[in-house]
Amino acid sequence: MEMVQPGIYAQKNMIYTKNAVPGQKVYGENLVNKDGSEYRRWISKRSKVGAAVQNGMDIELKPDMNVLYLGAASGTTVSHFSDILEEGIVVGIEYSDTVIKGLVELAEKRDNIAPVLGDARNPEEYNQYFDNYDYIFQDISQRDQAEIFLKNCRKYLKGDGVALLSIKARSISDSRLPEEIFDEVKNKVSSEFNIVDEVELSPYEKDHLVIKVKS
Amino acid sequence: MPDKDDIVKEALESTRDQLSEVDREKHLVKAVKMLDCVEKSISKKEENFKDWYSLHFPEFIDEIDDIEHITKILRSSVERDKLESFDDLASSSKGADITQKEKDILQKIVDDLKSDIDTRSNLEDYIENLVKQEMPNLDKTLGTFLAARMIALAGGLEDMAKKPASTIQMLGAEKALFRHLRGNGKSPKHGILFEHEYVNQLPESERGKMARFIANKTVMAARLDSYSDKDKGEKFRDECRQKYEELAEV
Repeated sequence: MEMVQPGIYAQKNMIYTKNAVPGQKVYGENLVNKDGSEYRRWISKRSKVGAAVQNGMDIELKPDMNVLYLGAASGTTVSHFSDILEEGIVVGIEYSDTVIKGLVELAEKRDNIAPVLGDARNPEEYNQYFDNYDYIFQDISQRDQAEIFLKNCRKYLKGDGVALLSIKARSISDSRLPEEIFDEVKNKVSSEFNIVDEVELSPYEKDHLVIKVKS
Repeated sequence: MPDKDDIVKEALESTRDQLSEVDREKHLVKAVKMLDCVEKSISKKEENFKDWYSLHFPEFIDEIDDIEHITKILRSSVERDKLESFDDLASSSKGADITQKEKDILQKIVDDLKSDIDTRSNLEDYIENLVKQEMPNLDKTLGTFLAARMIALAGGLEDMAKKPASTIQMLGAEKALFRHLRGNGKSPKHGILFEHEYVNQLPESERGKMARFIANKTVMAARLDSYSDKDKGEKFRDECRQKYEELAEV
């Protein structure tokens, strides 16, 4: 096991995080014991951040950060964030009351996940938790995903914070070219923030781009 | 800086509370889906059972069509000689005799159908009560079961209240609508609203107008049911009837 980024380990072209709750799988991933620690495989096909890391992006997530996670769903990626954030916490926003049940279950087993049932379109809905965050990640398959991202970054991103946006071209338009859609989103975002890195998620996801922004 | 443990605790508690809130419309949506499923199951089994039972007693099946009635009569026995008040038909039956094994299995199927039919009527009662109680305006404007079906398609009462009338008009016609939007085919005039008596009794050329009108009233009714206690269902129904009479005269 070799640490490639804070809290993220690599072995034989696969990436892992140190399991915060040894013995427990979250979504059917493999557990690997090495040098006295247990590692959970981060399956890139199931997690967009996993795919971004696999494709070479430095996500700049550090163990002491407070993270706002938009579109947390049932917690597949959130569980790996929870592994990495040894001192930090991840606040997961999810709109659907069906899938958030999985996240609640996960949060009961780990002590650094705060599941919130809310709509990321209205950032005020969850302002009782933190006033701002070191890190924001968004994975929401909606037509207005860029606007949602900007709204949240404006309100919650710290001056020296990092934000990651996963863009799904197919939820913006079915017929236009993905590159055209990516450019459009990047233009919108870069009018307010600096895009410092970007990576496409193929072959793990089709027509997806992850961008990293700072203010 | 707020304490992390407190934040986790607060978020978990409030999310759990929100999830455990009773939302009767969700039950309605699921009940309507289940009703559709049970109805399909009954009609498939009915067809196959009648087919099979005709081997033994074809005259009986010709005589009685209603499956609910059939299961009631056959509940005690499926053997034709043991049926009360069917002696004449039974003695002259052209059907073949059946063995004990066949009797057993046919009896089992009758029981099964009976239980499906009971489930269906329970579901119908449940849906009817819920719609009458929780959405009186929609109930009167559309009729109980059409209201329930449309709520199920819209995804819930509040979801319906938030939709525009044009979307309500198209509920159930999504396939035709998107075919039209892609450039093939005519624009659909109504989806499941076709089931409304004022729509399907009109000539084809007038149905679109009627569906549009009812969709408008439906959205108003849904908003009243969702956000207030006012009861204007009768008024909506009357307005729909007037429009219907107007269109029917032309």
